[in-house]
Amino acid sequence: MMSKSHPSMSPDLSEAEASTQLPGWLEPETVDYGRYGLLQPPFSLSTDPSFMYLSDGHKMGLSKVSYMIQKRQGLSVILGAIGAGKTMSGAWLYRRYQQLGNHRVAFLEEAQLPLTDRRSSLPFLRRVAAEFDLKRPRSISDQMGVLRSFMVSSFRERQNVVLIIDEAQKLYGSHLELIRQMLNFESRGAGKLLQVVLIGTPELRTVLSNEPTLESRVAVHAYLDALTREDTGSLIGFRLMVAGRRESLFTPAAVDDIYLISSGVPRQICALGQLALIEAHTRDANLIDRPLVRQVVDAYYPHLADRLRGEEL
Amino acid sequence: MTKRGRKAPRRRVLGANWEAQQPRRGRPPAERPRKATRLYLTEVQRDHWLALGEALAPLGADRIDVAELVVAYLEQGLHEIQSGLTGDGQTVPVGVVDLKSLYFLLDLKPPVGATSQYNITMFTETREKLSVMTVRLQSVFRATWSQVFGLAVENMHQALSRRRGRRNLIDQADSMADLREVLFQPQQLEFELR
Repeated sequence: MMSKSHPSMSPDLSEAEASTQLPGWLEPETVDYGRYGLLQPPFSLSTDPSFMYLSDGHKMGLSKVSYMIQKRQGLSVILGAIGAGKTMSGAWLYRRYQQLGNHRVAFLEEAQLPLTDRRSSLPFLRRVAAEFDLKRPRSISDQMGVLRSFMVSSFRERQNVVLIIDEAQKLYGSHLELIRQMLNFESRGAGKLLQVVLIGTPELRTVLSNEPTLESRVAVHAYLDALTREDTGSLIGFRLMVAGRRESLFTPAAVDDIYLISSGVPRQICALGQLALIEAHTRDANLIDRPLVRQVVDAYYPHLADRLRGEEL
Repeated sequence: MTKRGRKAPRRRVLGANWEAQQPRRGRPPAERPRKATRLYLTEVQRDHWLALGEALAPLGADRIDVAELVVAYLEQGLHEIQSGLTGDGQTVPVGVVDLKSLYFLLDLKPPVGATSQYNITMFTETREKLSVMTVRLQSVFRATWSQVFGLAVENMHQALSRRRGRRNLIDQADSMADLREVLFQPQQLEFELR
């Protein structure tokens, strides 16, 4: 039986995109995952790097960005549309470099950026210092001094300092100027003392173009595009595998529909996958096929049903 | 007498000398030891391999020299990548999770399609170099000889195609020595910004 659609339960995709939190109607408890051979929710929207599926676009971006980080080239930029996996990529890099042992990494998410007096430089610097567990004096020059001595001592200890900033398109000019100043810390012949990865939506490019001195320092731009049809199937299969299921759960036709509705945006693929799983559980279905996905689309995304026009049921 | 009490075979000095003076039959042994290597390449890789052979033939390069060149060039590229890494004992950056990522890092198109078997003759030193690279990449993402050689072919093909567009490198080089001089200059990986 089709679960009844409630106004608060019929998320507009744009709303789903805006939030990475799992809404109440997607509570993991609503599905008996063990029934499908799953140990945990496969399509959780939270940022868990172990669920990160690396498409060709992600591989291309991350291979170059990581090369630039380890080569101490300074500034790298990762751009991508909403839901393309930018934060996940940042979390993935953060975890990888933490595991490596010879990197001191900080991941500055949007929520961690100072809310009060956002334009001011000092709170931003203090935030960066806090991420590296450094002292936080009350003047910009002192704070820069602390950061600089930290970078120099890290370099002497053969440690690479990496700062990953998510939602970087929301940074102000004063923040970007500070980043530029920090990127000036350099060792002779051995590269930059600080590696910065700015992650943001395509607006970040406009923001950077207003700061030409910083823009000219960008070593590499990486773009995270939407997934292809093949990648959509692989993402679903990969997430199911990480969650514990070896066999396929979605029929190829169901994956086709998910791809058409989501336009290959990973977050939307996961949202649809989760809804389809809940629906399958409600109907006691063992396999998620095209009619089931269509019912989910009709119930939750009726305004997107046009995208399926022409596809035979 | 030997330890077991048997007679040692008689040395036939005259006979041995006579044999050594006789002209040898068949192809004379090569100056540098070589060996045919069975590799599995995609159609594109094979086409690029043949194109490299044709392009470098005017410089006096045989196929075996081309094999040596492509392997040495990839070895330099991997060394360049590895030498810049902060991590001790790391072969590739953390973002390079498989061979495809390595293709992307080198700005190459990853191989597609089925592979076919080819025999490519290589110098023993070339085989050793290829073997060392393969072992290194195998420890990271299970690369095979064929995959590494395919990567080497693509890498060289791209290097020559890029430079050809600007300065027509092969036409300008008078010999393989000239070409090597340009190819093996210390250089950093360049990425084309989109």
